[in-house]
Amino acid sequence: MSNGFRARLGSISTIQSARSLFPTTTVEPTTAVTFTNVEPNLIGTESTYTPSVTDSEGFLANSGLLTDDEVSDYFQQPDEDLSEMLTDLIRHTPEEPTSAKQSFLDVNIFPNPYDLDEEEFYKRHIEISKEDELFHDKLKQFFILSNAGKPIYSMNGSDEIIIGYMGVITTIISTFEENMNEEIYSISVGDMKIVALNKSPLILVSISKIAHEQPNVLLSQLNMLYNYLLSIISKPTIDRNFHNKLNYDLRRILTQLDFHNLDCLCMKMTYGLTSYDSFNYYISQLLNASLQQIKISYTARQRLNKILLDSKRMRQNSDDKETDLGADLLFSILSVNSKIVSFMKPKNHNLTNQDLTLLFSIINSSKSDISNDETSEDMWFPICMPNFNPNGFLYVFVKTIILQTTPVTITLLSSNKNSFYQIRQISNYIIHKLTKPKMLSKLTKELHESNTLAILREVPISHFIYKNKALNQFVMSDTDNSVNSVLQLSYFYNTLYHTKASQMKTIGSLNIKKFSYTRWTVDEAVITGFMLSDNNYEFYCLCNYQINSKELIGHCIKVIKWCEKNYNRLFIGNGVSFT
Amino acid sequence: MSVIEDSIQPPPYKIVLLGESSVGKTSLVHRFTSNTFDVHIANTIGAAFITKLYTSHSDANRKVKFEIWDTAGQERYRSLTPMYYRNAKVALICIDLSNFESTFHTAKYWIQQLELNNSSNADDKPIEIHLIGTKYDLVQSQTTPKISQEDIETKVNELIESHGNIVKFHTTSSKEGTGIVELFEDIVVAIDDDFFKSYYDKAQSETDVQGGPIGSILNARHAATSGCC
Repeated sequence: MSNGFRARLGSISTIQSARSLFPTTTVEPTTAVTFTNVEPNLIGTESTYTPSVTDSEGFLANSGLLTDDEVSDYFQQPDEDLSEMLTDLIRHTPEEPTSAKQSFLDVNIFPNPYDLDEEEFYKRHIEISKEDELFHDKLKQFFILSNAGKPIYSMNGSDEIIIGYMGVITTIISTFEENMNEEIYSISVGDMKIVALNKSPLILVSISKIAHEQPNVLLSQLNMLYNYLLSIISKPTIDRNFHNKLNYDLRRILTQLDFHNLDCLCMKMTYGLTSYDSFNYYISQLLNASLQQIKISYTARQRLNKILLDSKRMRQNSDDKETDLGADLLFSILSVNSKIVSFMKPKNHNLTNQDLTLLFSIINSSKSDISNDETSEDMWFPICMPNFNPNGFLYVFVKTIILQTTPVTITLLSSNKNSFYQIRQISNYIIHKLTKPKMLSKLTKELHESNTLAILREVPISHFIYKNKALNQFVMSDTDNSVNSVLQLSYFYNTLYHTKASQMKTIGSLNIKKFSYTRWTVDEAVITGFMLSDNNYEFYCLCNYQINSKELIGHCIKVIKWCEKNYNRLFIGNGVSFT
Repeated sequence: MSVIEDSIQPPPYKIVLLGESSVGKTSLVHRFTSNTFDVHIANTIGAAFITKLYTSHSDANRKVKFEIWDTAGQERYRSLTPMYYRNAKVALICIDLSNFESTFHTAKYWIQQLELNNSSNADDKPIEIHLIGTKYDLVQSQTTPKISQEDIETKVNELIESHGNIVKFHTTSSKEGTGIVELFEDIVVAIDDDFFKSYYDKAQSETDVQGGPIGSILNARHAATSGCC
C-alpha cells in the first residue's frame, strides 16, 4: 500500500493539471474584497459570497460579481451559433501552470494536529486499519451490530477495542426507545457527529470527525451499508436468523469478500477512495443517488437498446420444442466502467439508482482480470435488490468483453436461479451483435471519444458536473483518480453542494434559478467553485484560478447549453421497456 | 481425423470445482485457463463459468471444450450448487494441503452431496471425482507442518477406497504452476472413445439436417430478429 500510495501522490495534480491552459498569474483579481489572509479556509460563506436577494445590490456592485440582471441577461441571449460566441473566449496558447501542485493537506480539509505529511496523515487518520493502535486517530468510524450488542462489522479496530462501545451504543439506543418512545438519530459532540440507524434486529452507527460531513449524509451512508447486507442476505434471512436466536452471530454467513466490500463502501462513501470508480460513486451519492452517464450518439444508443430488446425475444428450437430463452429475463444492462450505456426493463418495474449502484459495487468487487475472449468468465450469483424486492433474490449474469480496448459489461438479471444457460445464450446473442464489424467500429469509436467531453476544450473550466433533475442522472468531467485529487474534489463539491444558494430575481417565471459561489485560496492558488441550478438542472464547476465572475458565468452557461443541446447523447433516460 | 470433425466444434465437457472457501479453486482455474496467478485474488461470488478449448498433448484427436464451473465455497451459496453439477462429467474437489483438517472435512461433505445426486440421476453416468490437494508450495515451506505428508496420504487413501467414484488424488500448486496441466491432461486422456464418437456422429447428422449446432443457434437468432416489429 505505501509504495502504491507514494507513487500516486507523486503524480498529484488535482484540477490544476486538468486545465493547464490558464496560468493563475495572468488573471486579475475580480473582487474588491482582498484576501490577505492565506489561511486556506473556505472563504465563500453565506454572508459574504452568496448574497441574499435583499442585500445583493450593494455587495455585487462592490465585488464585481454579476448582478442578478446581468446573470439573467445571459439566459435571455438568443441561441445564436455557439461556436461563434465562443471564439473570443478561447485562448489559444496553453501555458504551464506556474504554481506548485497543492496537497490536500494545504486545503485544510482535515485537522492535522501532528503536522504529518500526506502519506503519514493518510496512514494514521484515513486508511482503514483493523489494528487497535490507531483506532482513536481515525476520522471516521462505522459499526454494524445486533440489537443484543454483538459486533458484526467495524470499519476500524479489533473486536477487543470495539466491544465496549457496542455496549454503550445498545444502551443508549434502547433507553431512547423504551423511555421516550422515539428513535435516536444524531448527536453532536464538539467536532464529532454520531448518527445511528435502528433497523432492528440490526443497528448501524457512524461516527465522523470530518467537518464537512452532515448528519443527513451520514444517515444515507448507513442506509447504504444496510442495503448492502440486504442485497447479499435478504431481509427474511436476517429476520429468521435473529428470530430463532436473539444473540445470533451474523458474521457466520458473511464472507471475507463481504467484509472487504463493506470496507470499500466505507472508504467510497466517506472519501471517494480508493478504486477507479469510487469518486464517481461519491459524487453520485452527493447528488442524491444520481446515476453517472456516458456520452454516446443517439443512434448508437437506439441500436444497443434494440439489441437488448431483440435478445429478450430470443427463442430456440430444439427437439421440435420451442423455448423462450428470455422468459425469466427482467433487466438487461450494457455498461462501460459502471456507466450505463443501454438499459432494458419490464414496463411496470424498474431498478432504483441505489439498487443499480449497489449492483455495480458488487460486480466490481469480484471482477478478475479480463483475459482473452476464449477464456473470459461468466459470473452468476444471487442478489437481493432491496428497493425492488427486499424479500427475494434475483440472479445476475455478468460478462465483460473488450471491444478493442474498451471493456463493455453485459449484466442480465433473471428471476430464475436455474436459467443460467438460457441467459448465457442471450448474452452470446448480444456479443454476436456487438461484435459485428459495423457495430463494433461505430461503438468503439464513440466509446473512445466519450472519455473526453468536447465542451471542456472550449472553456477554461477545470471540472464540472451537470445533473438532469427529472432523470436524476448526471455527467461529469473525467477525474484523475489520485488520492490527493479525489480528497480535494470531493471536499470542494461537498462544500459547494451544501453552501446556501441565492435565488435570482425572476419576474413572472416559475423556473427559479439559484446560484452559489465559493472560493478557496490555497497558498498562492485560488480555486473557484460555482453552482447554478433551475428547475431542470444542477450545474457545479470548479476553476483552478481566479476568474472574473462574469467570465466564469459565461463559460458555465456555455457548458449548460452544450449539455442541453446534447441531451440525447448524454442521458440514457429511462432505457427501453418490454411488455 | 476427418475434415468434418475439424469443422465441428469440439465436444463440451463439463467440470465443476467444489470445496471449502479459499482453498484455491479460482486460482487453479486461472492457472489452467490463462496461466496466471494472483495471491490477492477476490472471493468468488456465486459462481463463475469459464470455457477453454483443450487438446491432449499425447493425442491431438482428443480435443474438448472444457466448461468449468468455479463455485463459491461459502455456505450461503449452497442452494445454487445443484445447477452447477447437473450434467457435469467430472468434479474437482479441492483440499487445502496447508489447512488440511477443515478443508478435508468439507471435501467429504461434497462427496456425499455428489453421491446423493448420482443416486437420484440413475440414467446419467455418475460424476467422476478427482481430489485435488492445493497449495503444495505452502506445505513445502512449512517447517513444522500441522499434519505430516504420510498422515495426509493415509487419510486420502482411506477416502478413495471407501468411495468408488473417486478416481485419483492430485497434488498441485497454482502459484508454481505444478500439477495442473497434468490434471486436465489426465481428465482428457481418460475420456471414453465412445464419448467422442457419439458426439461427432450426432453433430454430423445434425449438419446434414440443418447446418449443425451452430446453424441451430443462428436459426434462433434469426427468429429473434424477425420476431421484432
